[in-house]
Amino acid sequence: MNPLPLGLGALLRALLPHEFGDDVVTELEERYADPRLTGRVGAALWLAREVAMTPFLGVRRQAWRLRARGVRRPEGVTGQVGGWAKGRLSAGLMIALRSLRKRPGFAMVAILTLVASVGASTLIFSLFEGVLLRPLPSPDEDRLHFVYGTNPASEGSENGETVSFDGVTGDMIELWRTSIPEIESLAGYFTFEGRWADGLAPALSASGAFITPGYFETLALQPSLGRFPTDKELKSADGVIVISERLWSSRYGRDPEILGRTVSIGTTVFEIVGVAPAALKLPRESSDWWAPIGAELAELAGAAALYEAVVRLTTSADARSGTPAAAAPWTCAYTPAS
Amino acid sequence: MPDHAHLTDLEQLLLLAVLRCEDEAYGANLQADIEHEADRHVSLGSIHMTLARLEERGLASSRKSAPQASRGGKARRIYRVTEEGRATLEWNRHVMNRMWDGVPAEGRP
Repeated sequence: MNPLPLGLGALLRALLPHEFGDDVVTELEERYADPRLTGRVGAALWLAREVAMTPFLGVRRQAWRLRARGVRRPEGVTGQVGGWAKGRLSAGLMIALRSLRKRPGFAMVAILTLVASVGASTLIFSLFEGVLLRPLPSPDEDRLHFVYGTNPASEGSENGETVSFDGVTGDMIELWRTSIPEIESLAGYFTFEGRWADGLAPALSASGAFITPGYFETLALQPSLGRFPTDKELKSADGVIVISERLWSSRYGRDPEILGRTVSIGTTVFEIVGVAPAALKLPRESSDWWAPIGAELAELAGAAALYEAVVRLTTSADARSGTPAAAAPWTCAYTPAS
Repeated sequence: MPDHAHLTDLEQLLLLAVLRCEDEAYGANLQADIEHEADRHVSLGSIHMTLARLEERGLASSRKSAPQASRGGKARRIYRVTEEGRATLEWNRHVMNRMWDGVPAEGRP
């Protein structure tokens, strides 16, 4: 599968509704790599045609949403949905382009002024936001590290080389947590994407993580609303869930009554007990929920390397030393989580 | 059937293509089927947008397939027609048939 050229994939993802933008781009990438498209020129022509025929214009998207909300087009306007809005936009665009073409000097000055002012505004806001507004995502962030396992004695090692493993097992997490003094807290998680059903339309596919006890304690964050599950709830899989601030905003309009609402992922029902702060972007920036792994999955994950893991070291630990005290047969190694 | 059960020609083509493709009803397959059988090119964006709208109306549903090696481990979105979708499709065919029934014989193609 080839990525689309010229950042087209990212552009399409941004322009198309999120419900299916990713599906469209993935299928375009798959077809773009199809050798039957007779070489680079054939593939480029096919792609250009696809993009030209894609109804990704914002007005189209807007018209669709307006219609979904029951908003009618103005009286006397006929044609396809979105046609009236698109017609007005394209007419205005044509007038603007003609004016610019007639006065190229003025057009150049206007464009350069716009570019310079937008750039300057962006730069100033970025500095302001980065230095003053953005809160530290987690206190003592330099103590947070990702954990992975190494096993010098593994069968896969040759000539005494150390073999590294990205995934860790539940047993490894438990072993390291209890036997390595440098570790203040340690938690595992694995990503999962499932159909999010809450009685609202449209249904969506939401990405999130199943987590082990100690997850929120390790990250040392405070919820934006409600609370985080207790370790007891995380161990017993009491059916509680924390949602992201993004999902809370986009899906529920930041409704403060969201707590106690039930949702389901697949066939499992959860009760929303809290909203995570926007700074929580682990495991992914797109993560929208965090739920207990549950006893059954935890047992399964005991010996299977399903987890990724994050650790908070004690202040005395020298994180850069890489490998702390061994906890045979697995040795634990760190990489900074920043 | 109420008024809102009317389907556009693209919606009908897509629902029929989904029925025809059965378990392989994903965007690129539907595109190929419509191109081959109806001699009409519909972009992948239009296909997914229209099917999303049909999903909103409860006439279609979708699920993610198992991850596909050919697409870098990503899953495909597989569509299916709901019972309501099939009934709506049948109703639209019935309407067209009824309209054709009223056309004098010489007006028929």
